[in-house]
Amino acid sequence: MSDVAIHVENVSKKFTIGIGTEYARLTETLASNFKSASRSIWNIATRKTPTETYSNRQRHDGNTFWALRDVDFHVRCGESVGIVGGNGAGKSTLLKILSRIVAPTSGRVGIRGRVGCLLEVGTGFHPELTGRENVFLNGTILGMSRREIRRRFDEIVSFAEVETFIDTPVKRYSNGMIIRLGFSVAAHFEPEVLIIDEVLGVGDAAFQARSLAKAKEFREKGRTVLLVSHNLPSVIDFATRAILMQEGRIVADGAPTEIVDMHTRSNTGEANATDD
Amino acid sequence: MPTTQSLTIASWSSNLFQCEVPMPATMWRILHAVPITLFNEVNSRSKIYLPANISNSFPMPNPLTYYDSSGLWSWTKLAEMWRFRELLYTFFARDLTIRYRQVVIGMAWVLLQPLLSMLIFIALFGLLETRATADGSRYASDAAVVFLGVWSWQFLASALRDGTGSLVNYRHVITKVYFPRLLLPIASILCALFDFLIGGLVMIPILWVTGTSIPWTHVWMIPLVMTWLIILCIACVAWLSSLNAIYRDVGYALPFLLQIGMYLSPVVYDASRIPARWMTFYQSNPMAAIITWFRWSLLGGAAPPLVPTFFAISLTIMLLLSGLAWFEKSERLLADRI
Repeated sequence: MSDVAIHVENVSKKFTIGIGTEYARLTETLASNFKSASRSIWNIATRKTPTETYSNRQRHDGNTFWALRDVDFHVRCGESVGIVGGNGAGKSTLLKILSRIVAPTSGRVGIRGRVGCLLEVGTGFHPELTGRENVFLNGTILGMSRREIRRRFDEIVSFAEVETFIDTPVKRYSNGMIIRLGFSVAAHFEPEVLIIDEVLGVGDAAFQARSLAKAKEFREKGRTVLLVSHNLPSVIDFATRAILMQEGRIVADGAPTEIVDMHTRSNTGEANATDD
Repeated sequence: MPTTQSLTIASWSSNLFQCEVPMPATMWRILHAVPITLFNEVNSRSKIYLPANISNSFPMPNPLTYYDSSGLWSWTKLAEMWRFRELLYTFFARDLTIRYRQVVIGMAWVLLQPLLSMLIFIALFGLLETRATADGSRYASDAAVVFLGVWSWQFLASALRDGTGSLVNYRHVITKVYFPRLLLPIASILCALFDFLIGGLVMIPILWVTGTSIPWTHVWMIPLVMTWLIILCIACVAWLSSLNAIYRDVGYALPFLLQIGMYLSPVVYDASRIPARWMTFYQSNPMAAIITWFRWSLLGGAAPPLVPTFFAISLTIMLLLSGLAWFEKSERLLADRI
């Protein structure tokens, strides 16, 4: 276990569908919270773990929906893993749980070190602040220390090609400039585990090429990378291992070429089935 | 054409973004010297050599840390918030910078607000031929009494207002990155605290003009009262911000609640105007107790009663513990429900 960077252990995630239950009456919510709180205190006292599991037969169960069902795998340090699967297979939910944005309904995840998350570039950019201030703001939000940011500040700015405008409020930037600056900050963050979700699809072709080069550079340094993409050639090109997800479960785990092949076949299979 | 003042504030606050969080490097080294030496010792003995550059700042490899759906509020949460202190500072610097950008008279607003409200209330009391304090009270002047009340109430009001909206205002960050969510409302409190301290500068000329003599024997109570006030703010904001993230009604109700709270606390009048038979009940309101103690520490006057103070402190602690527990619980659902 000493070289495991990511350990996902029986993770399931339930969502509640519909707006009615989401905005339940305050009294009801407080009552149910009180119930679940006393139950969790009871569980801790009796050393029980919560035993909520999904219904085996169907993914939709009344107005609940299981986005992930008993997902279990681990990634070793230095691996770059591509996750492929159709729409709604649970890829993004898995990444959100790994980056601790949402908590799993059951199961747990183990992470070694800091997680860098490129779900979207320029998180937390504020239009009134200057480029310089936004670099510091965005960098700290991602998890860099101020010292790290100050040390790499010139690199970040020149990579984004916004040297002339760095002390101008971001509200006067073009969209391209904002995206470039946001990506540049993220690309100079060096966490132990990097999670990328479709972010390579941002910007023009030349910029995309540079971003992919940056991600490869990161991989060469022996860091762990998790990539979610619909761009199958880039998964084959980039990843050392791939995981195929369908309907919230892991279906296959292996070499990228095989997995991508399997994914394409199952897609065309579905297409043929609907044709018939 | 911006004035020189706003320019200096702008350049000063942009410096805020680059300066380091006041955690002296030497202290950091001392704190970590012990575990590092221990660790190296163990490794050299067992002949395991760490790669030279395993982590860019810290020589220890990171442990595999597990996260799941359970968990109550604990000390680990506090330790985690300490690790994220730079982010807290960044949120604080951002809120402050945004507040004073594109504002011409800048910080003068902070000084003007309590001063103007104080003048209005003093004028009103003059018209109604009444006083803010009871006849037998030992205060030199009503002006200092009213200013102190308005000034500390505005701290609470702005901390609660900004803190309650903070999670909703930054939901685009909350749904993208993990950090201890409590940092956002606490940053709002820090911002309000900054304004509060600046506003305190007006207190000095007021004390001088009204000829109030500072009670040097118990002026040391001020930091304690301030700490109590900040803890009360954290407790309220832990409840309000997370409730507001799920039920937006809280944000609409808050201005009204603050208005009621202002009448129920000795803000524009002194607690000595309250009939003695209501005193225990009245002073159990934490904010009433805080303002009374604050007045006593800075302006003198009659000492506040102790039993209701005890009630008020217990109420604050209960509010804080329940607030943190509730916040911890709703924090897990925040990204799903906000």
